[in-house]
Amino acid sequence: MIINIALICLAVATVLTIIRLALGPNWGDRITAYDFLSVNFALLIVVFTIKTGFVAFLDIALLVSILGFLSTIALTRHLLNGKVL
Amino acid sequence: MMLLLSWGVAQHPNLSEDALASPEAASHETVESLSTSLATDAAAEASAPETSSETSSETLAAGDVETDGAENTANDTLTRHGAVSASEHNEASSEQHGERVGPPVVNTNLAEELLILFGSFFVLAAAIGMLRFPDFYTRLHASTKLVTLGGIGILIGAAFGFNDVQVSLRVILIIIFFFLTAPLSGYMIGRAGYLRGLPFYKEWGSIDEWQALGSGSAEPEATD
Repeated sequence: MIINIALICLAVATVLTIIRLALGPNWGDRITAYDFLSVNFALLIVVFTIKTGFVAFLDIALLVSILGFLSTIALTRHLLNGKVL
Repeated sequence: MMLLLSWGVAQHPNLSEDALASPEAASHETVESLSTSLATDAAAEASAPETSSETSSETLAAGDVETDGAENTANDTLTRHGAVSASEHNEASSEQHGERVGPPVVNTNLAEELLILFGSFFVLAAAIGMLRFPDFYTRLHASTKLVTLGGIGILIGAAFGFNDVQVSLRVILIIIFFFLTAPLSGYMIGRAGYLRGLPFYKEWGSIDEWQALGSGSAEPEATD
């Protein structure tokens, strides 16, 4: 029951972040919303793991968080320096 | 194929004794049958060298069965019975190993559910702040509350809810990764936004202290 409430909260948070990602006036808002969305998706996968019981989803959560972090760093370095590495 | 079946018979510890009285004799017999089948295979290949691999394997199996039937019927039936019982036992053991196919039942206490509810409430609050704050920097401030409060609640609730060592180690790994990378990504986004000159929210009287101290960068060009 409480797990379902937590899933609903995370889904509403995802929808609000997608709205900010769509109508953010700057590129900074969009990168912030993207970083938020990757962490939010990882937490959603963790709560879904608690609901279903499949442990293998935790690896997917770790993978999603790693990909979100690396893409955030690549985007900011590209916007600041003009190159990634 | 016959060699693999007899290897499975010889390797299996819980073999029934009536099916195979003497494993040394059975292995000796299978080695003999294998050598004779190889000989027949070589003869077939010598007679028809342009046959494909499928036909050679078919002749191998046929020669195997024929030599088995011709050589010793008693040992042959013994080994076949042993092989069949071994395969049945292998299926039974694989079914025994496959009992954990379904998802394990997760028993969560009230404390863990309250931790998860705490975390999801802070995730929702951070998303509302993400939508409602007027500025890029304040939105960045709201997004860092996601990891430190929402993430710690949900992940610690998950770590205590499973009561398993592997799950707890993975969740602790995710916690360490979040707490190492979230301040770094927030710092990088804020630095890029300030150095590229994203505009402040002027109605609250915000002051650029870095420029007021005189040690800031050149005046930030208004992009976007």
